[in-house]
Amino acid sequence: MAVSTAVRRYYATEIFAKTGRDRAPPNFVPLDDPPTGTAHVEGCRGGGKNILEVAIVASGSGDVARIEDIRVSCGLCNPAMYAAADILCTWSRGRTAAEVLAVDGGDVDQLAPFYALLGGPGRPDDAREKFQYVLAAVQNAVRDHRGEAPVALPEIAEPTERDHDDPDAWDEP
Amino acid sequence: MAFDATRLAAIRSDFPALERRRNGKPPIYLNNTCMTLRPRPVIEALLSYYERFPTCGGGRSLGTHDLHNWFQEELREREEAAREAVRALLGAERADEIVWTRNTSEALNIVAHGYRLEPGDEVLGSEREHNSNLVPWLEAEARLRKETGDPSLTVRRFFDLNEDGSFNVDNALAAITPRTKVVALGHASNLDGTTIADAELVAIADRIHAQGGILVLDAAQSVPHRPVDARALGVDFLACSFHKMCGPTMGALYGRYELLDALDPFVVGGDTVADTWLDRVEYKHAPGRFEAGLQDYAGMVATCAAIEYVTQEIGLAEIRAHEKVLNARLTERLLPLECDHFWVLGPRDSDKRGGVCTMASGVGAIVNAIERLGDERHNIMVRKGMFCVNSYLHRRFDQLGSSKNNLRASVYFYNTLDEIDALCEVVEEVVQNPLDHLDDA
Repeated sequence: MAVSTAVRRYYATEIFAKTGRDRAPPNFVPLDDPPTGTAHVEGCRGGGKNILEVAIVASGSGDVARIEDIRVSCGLCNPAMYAAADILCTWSRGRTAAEVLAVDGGDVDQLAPFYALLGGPGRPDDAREKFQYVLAAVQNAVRDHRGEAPVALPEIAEPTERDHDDPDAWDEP
Repeated sequence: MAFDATRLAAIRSDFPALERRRNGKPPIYLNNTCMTLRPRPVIEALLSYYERFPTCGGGRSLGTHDLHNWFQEELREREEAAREAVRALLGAERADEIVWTRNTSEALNIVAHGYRLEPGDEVLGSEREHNSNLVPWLEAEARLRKETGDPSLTVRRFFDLNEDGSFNVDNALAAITPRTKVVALGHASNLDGTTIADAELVAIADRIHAQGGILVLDAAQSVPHRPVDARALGVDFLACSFHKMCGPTMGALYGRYELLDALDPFVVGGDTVADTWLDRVEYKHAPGRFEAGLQDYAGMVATCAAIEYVTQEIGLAEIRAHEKVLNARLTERLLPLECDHFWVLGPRDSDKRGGVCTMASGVGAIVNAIERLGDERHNIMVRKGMFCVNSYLHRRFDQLGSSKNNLRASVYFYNTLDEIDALCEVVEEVVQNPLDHLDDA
């Protein structure tokens, strides 16, 4: 499936440009401290080893537990997954457990903050699918920090090419 | 090339899988480190068991003849010939030093489970052991921790390889302490093809033997490609797999007899016992005590055919020479492509990497695009991932974000330069314009 324009642009500037033989985007290297919560999700269809791992360091407990730091690891061959994981790390850092768990990933309107970080017009559906996968993993990492069992992955619809490519709608920088 | 075009074409005609076509093109199989293709003589040997003597070969000890019927006698003859072929292949002294296993992993588990370690004993390996030669020892460590009640007990230790991934014998020798009871090493790396030199292995064997310890060799990646003489190398236990050398999916464990026979059995039950009573069991001597239940008799017959095919029909020296030429071409074309987003793992000199060439990137999309485009355009089969050396890749590359983005091409004697060129063409296209290939990732 084609990669949406929004994902392509985000990936090129925020991921590819920051990746090299001696460097990686900051959200994709291990935490400095041992994680207090972890979770994983099979975020790309096809099975095998397409597993996104999320690790957080959080302080406090209950609803006021706060994510101090968060990192992800994956084969990350899929640009949309890369972008979604990066965006969810950025969005989650500093937020409380209550804020993270309040987001209903099944409601696309509630993904608006993530789309805002992605940039561009529209809500490309390849990003929607990966936002939902990564959000589920981040929420389970928070639950793990709180000593709670992980919640089963909700049903996530396969991506379409809705809102994928309308480069003319972009304001060139 | 070890083989001219005519010879290579004849060799390739032995492999039915190479006759297949998809989109009018044959397969390009470059995942030989994992599992090779099988030639007709091996397939026919496998079928011969089912067609001619499809019976039980169990219920006896090696060398005894307590079963007498038509099929079983024919099968016994072939099973003993197969065990003898493995003995000769590995340089064992006696056929009963050979245990049939499902694969190298099972063989190494037999050793790690059965060799008695005491609190304070240490097992030494390199920083890059295959999971099959790491996890069984970590489990041995876990058992000792449980037995002693000491959760901090450390059994498994490691030493560093050279920066380029090649073996460092000085580090290995320096890491052997008076407490080292077992040195367990991978002979050739499935990640970058680097191999421990014979003299280095002998030096390690001498050192560990001098203090009463043993040397265990994971030879899964060496036996299919070069002569390996366990006794000459001073190896006490050696594990290998035949599916990496044109055989069926099974393996073998070699053990110096007095050591092998002293191992505690791993999987027990039918056929491992000399006799049983309601309250006790008397196990057979090796190798029977390790071969629980009915075995893969078809696999044994086919293993014999595979060993004969690889060592006699083709020749290990010729295999090595052919792989050398193929990997030289691969390396010669890939090294100039190295950049911030793409590089080759291991030594620069392809001679030091056997038939293996692993490409790596911080950008998973590059690795995926190469794999997909290669498959779609040329039916190329390679392997991506961490290749069961997760611990090494985590240690070396996690901080650089590239531990999981590896793509391995591994050759065998039926591969051609044209196949190498087809892969290189795809790699060049993707690496030179990676952002144009995000849709392929």
